[in-house]
Amino acid sequence: MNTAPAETRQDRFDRGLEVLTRVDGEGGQKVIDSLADISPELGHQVVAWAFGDIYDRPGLAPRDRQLVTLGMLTALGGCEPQLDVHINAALNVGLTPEEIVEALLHSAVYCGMPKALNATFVAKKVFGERGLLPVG
Amino acid sequence: MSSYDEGEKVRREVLGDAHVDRAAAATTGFTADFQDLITRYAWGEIWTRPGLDRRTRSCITLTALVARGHLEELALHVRAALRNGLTADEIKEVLLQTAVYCGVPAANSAFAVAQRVLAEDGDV
Repeated sequence: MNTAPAETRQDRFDRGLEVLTRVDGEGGQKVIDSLADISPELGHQVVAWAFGDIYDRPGLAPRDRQLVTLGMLTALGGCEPQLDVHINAALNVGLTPEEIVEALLHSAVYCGMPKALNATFVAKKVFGERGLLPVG
Repeated sequence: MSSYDEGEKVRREVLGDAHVDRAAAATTGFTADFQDLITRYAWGEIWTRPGLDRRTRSCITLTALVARGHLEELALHVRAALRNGLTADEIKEVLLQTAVYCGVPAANSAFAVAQRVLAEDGDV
């Protein structure tokens, strides 16, 4: 466990913010900022728990964690805004556009083609914004 | 090699001969076309592709199954994940991360399945 009993709520948030900034860049911070006037606590919990606790664990490489997240966001459906952030994050931690497209193709088997299509079109938007089209 | 033959080879390597033999023995006239489809499509056309290694494909498969609540398939793919080189600790990390995206109840169910499978295999 990486959560020492003495750790405060603020400590976990600070560590999470550092991980969020490293992985998601501006995209993650924008999401947190946009929660400030409606639910800062949700912003706090996303940073503190998802990033300060889970993403900071050493057991999987950042690249693996982003693939895991892409698989889930694709399978859940309706998470296109989060896919946008995490496709950017996947690129930030060193996944290639080809690997991301391959992961979404693989997900079609387990989640069905409509969800794979929706996720792939989010990837197309992100790749376009970053000058990464065409893929391959 | 046809996509069926390639798929059959990868399916056996990933799921193990015992599982595939059981599935083949249980195939009926009603399910034969479906067995053929999953061998040619999921195994022959997707799992055979070189773009991601099998360990990575197992990570993605585990999370998709948790996200959709397919717990029977999850048991199968926890065994497959071990065969594809994920350790029990890495499977634990994947399932911890599902709590954030799929919710704690989905992760709780997934941990129960994985615990059973890993204990059967002597991995936890």
